[in-house]
Amino acid sequence: MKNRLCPNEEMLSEYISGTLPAEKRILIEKHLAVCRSCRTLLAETHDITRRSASGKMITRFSAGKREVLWLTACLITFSASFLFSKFFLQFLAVSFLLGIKWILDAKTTKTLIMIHKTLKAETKTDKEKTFL
Amino acid sequence: MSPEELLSKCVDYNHTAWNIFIKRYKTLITKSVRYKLAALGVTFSKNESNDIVQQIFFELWEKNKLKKVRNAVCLEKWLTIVSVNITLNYCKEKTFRDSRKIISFEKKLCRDNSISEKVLISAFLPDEKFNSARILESHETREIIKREISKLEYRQQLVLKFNLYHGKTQKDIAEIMNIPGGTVASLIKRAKELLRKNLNKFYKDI
Repeated sequence: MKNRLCPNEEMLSEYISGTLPAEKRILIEKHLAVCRSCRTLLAETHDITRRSASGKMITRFSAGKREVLWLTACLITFSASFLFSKFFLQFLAVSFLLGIKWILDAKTTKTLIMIHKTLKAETKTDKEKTFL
Repeated sequence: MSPEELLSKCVDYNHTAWNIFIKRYKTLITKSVRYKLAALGVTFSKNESNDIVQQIFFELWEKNKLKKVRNAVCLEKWLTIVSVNITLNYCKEKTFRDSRKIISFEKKLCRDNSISEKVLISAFLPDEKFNSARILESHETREIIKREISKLEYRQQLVLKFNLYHGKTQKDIAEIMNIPGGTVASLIKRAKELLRKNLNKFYKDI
């Protein structure tokens, strides 16, 4: 529960950004050591800012677009293997890897893997039941 | 437009600057709102979470809250903190509003009086197995650990609490507190050693 002794939003944001003077930092740290709500607020702020920083990279391509991207890269390297016959095997290997990446990234494959895992788990529990 | 420029223009209620501000920080605020709602375990529709986002922008505009930001470097983190706090207040208000609608135990369950039995209080009590001595014992141990942690030096306390209560890694704590990772590691190590020593002493005394 937040109380009137809790530092304000500006102080907390300056603390987490590292722009607060040393003497104020000590005061805030002393408060944070005993105040759960302020600690939670800082922990959450750190989580959100870190996620949004990494999220910018991840969400640049949506899942569907990423699938197309892998497939296109796979096809390009495959055709390049014929165009540059000197590096035929190298290009073929890269296209093979990209193809695998495309298959594993596809939604349908993910669903199939999930179904397979649940079926496996179910058969395992069934076997345990019969033993009991 | 740099954050400093944007901030000063927004404080002066410049409409173009506000449009840029909303476009630039809408994603961050939406993410903060959704994160807090998920952390609280509250399920809200997309419209409701969008309402909270709108409320945040409205409060920033109406109360000219951006005036309080002294350093533009902290703007993103300040916005996150403000969003989390407003979301928390919104949820508290909403639960308060809903709590007034709670049905009394004495009240009949149906309007047509077909079910007139009182709701059994036992149905609302936790299962017996959750009331076992083991739970009480672990609760007691937790209290003892809590008390022993509070005896540590404030920095050790803070680092240990971030680590144990909030599940933060050494790297995370170093980022939050703006101190080197090595310092965090040594603080945690020393705090754990002290805690172990104090707990051993406590249990020997018993």
